[in-house]
Amino acid sequence: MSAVISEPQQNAWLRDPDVQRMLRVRDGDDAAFGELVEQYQDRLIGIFSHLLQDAQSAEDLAQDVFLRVYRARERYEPTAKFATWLFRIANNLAINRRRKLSRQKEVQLKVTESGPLGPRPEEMLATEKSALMPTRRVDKQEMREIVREAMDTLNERQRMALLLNKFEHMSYADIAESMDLTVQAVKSLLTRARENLRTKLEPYL
Amino acid sequence: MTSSNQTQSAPNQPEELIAYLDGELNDAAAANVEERLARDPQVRQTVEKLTRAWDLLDLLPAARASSDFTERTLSAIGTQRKSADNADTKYLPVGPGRRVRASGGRWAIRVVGLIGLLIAAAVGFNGSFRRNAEPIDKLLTELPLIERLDQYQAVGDVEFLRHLASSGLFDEQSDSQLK
Repeated sequence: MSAVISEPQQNAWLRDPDVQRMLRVRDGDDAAFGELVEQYQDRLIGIFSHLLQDAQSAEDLAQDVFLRVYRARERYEPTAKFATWLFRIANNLAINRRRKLSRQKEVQLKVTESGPLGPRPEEMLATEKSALMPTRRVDKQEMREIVREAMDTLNERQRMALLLNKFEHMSYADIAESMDLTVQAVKSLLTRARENLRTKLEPYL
Repeated sequence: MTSSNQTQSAPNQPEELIAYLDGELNDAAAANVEERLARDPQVRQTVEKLTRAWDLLDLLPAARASSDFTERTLSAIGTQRKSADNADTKYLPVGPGRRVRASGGRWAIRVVGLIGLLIAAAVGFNGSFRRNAEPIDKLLTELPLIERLDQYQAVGDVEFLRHLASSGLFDEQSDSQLK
């Protein structure tokens, strides 16, 4: 986030083997780029899949990330860990995609979703029932669907921060760097996300 | 992350508890949370639920790239690079306003090459001029001879010309006498 990068900090990034690979890509080593694709493709697609809920879109976006990385290779200067830099590109692309979709107004409301007049009585009833429902045994597949629905209630920024934290094991500082936020903003974002999840999953905890 | 107000804030606030679970608190703040955890069952219960909800995320299916993803991606990059190379060639004559960054190196090479060529031509011309200065002077001196070379070659011999001149056959006076 800061514009001035201290020398010891830059040396720390230079110790990142993927930063070294990217420097080789900058110097024209295409094999090193292949290694980076192999290394990060599942991780990127995993994050995008959770974010977009669509495998094909996730692959398309991941490929777009790699194309952009390759296009930027000649200008590459290590200013962060490689993963942080990569997920920053990923986050920007996800934001662009969301804006594009919003402009195209392709978002279709589900039949069960609330309309402009607020929640329907049966939805409120269902929510209340769910909240009051005693813990019951659910199978793994069912639980997986419940978790996915709970994730869907988070906004995209909360989801992104949560996914980077959970599956990329990123520190708050690295998430802040990837999402162009302050560390405090990440802390607040993650708190809201995890509190929301806890509330949604309360009957199953 | 390690601000001093962390130690002063109430540790049962979700933000502090979650930062504690994520290992993002400094030692003093973490000790403060642990102290509350030890003596407050409600805080303990909150942390347990947060942890269980967090662990449930492991149920989400881990998506993987399709088997040909790497190949398709590298192929797309190859295609992109080829079209970029073609575009470089296509746009080079247009001028520096277009594709400056992509073709900057090639322009530099061409300019340096052109300058080198001009220097070599100048040096070559100068050397050649000096080397050929004397023959050119000689040619200029002998130009009247060169211009009548055909006639001189037809005559073939200077002695014959002298004999012809002394014979008076081509004198102007003789011409007038003939008329």
